[in-house]
Amino acid sequence: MELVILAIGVVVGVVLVVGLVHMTGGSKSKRFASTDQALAVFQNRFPDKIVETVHVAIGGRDALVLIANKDAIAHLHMMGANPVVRLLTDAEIARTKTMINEGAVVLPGDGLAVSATVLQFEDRTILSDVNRRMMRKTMAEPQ
Amino acid sequence: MNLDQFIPIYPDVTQIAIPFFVIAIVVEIFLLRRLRHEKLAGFETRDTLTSLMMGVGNVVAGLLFGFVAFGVLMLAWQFRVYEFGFSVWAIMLCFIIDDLRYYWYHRIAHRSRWVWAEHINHHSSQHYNLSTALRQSWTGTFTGMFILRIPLVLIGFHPVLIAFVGGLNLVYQFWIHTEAIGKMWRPVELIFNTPSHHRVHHATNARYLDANYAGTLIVWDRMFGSFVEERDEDMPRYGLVKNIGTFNPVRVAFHEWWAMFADASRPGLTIRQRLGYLFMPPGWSHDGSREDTAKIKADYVRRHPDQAGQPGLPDLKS
Repeated sequence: MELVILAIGVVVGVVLVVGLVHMTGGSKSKRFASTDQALAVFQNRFPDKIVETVHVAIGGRDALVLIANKDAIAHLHMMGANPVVRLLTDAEIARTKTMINEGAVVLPGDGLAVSATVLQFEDRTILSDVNRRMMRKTMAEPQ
Repeated sequence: MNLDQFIPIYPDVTQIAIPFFVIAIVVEIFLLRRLRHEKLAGFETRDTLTSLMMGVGNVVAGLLFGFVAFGVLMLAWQFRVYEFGFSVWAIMLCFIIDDLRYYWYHRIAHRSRWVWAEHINHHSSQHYNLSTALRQSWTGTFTGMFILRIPLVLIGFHPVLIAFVGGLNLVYQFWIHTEAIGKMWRPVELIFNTPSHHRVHHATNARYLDANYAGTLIVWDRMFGSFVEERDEDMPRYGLVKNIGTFNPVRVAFHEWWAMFADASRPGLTIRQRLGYLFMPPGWSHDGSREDTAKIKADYVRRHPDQAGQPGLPDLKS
């Protein structure tokens, strides 16, 4: 097949399909409506983990789950219609930052798979909780 | 007889099939809208665009790097012990043997991180529709897995014929990436890879992990003990055990390569541990801190002891 015909066919096909998915409601993205919903998503993926608290970020696209043992933290991110659940490693928790004035937590990325994210919270109690965990991980991390 | 003088010019079936791919996806979009089943993964705009861009990238990668594999196979052709020619029987025989080759390639792709690094992107969508079929690798050539085709060449199948039947196999696998088709007629389900069997392969449910590697014939999975039946009470959840948070096709294509080399180059590891990060199954770690398939299945059975020993799940003892 000639390359030009192939290229035109591919472009037309992509535009047609993507346009149709968009027009049939495929661009709607979901949000975490409540902490219970975020908790259910987390427990579906990690049923053995004991959850301490769940905090949904402003806008509802993200949530942080503080886990009862080992100072663990999980990040829930609504990517379009589906949640991405990520258990932060100790090194990632140690690299987490908080911005008290903005009420924000800055999570490091995970290579090319997940970008660094800034999460803003109305309930700022989470900042001190995250800070405590971050400090303990920083001290535990080998220098 | 010098076969090289009679080599037919086979069409590139995957390129010819593109208009049919587009029409089939359009039909599936409308079918799924009519079904309106809330548990179906359906379509999502950015996810679909990513899948299609991965498909385009795969075609481009084939045009750029396809000569590497073909060159190696042509080199091997000099050492063939027989020539099957290009008859209909030769094509059929080549298709079946190449399908067996595909089964083992696919099984290795799920059991060794080196190959999983290129194959992971095909599983990276949390949706399961015909566009997912086109979410193909850009880096397949670099894993060197084309060497699995060398035995076919040595026994007498010409590389052109092998490329042709490989294309047919890929085209076959397109239509099985759908939730719009339930279980099919029993004899078909027994012999062929079907949407139901392949939904299992794409699922992250513990019982379905590392199952149903078939390309066209599911008989290989039945023969080699990797077959698991889809169950109504355990509907497939698609994607990866550790899903990625990006629709960017470049990130999708290279994220696992990046992660794998980052792991293998961590300070303080032995050579053996570095090789482990490159070639052991996905989820392997030198300190056992990560989840591999065996651990996920064992944890599931611990939580659901009544399911122990069921297809795809281990016995309770482990």
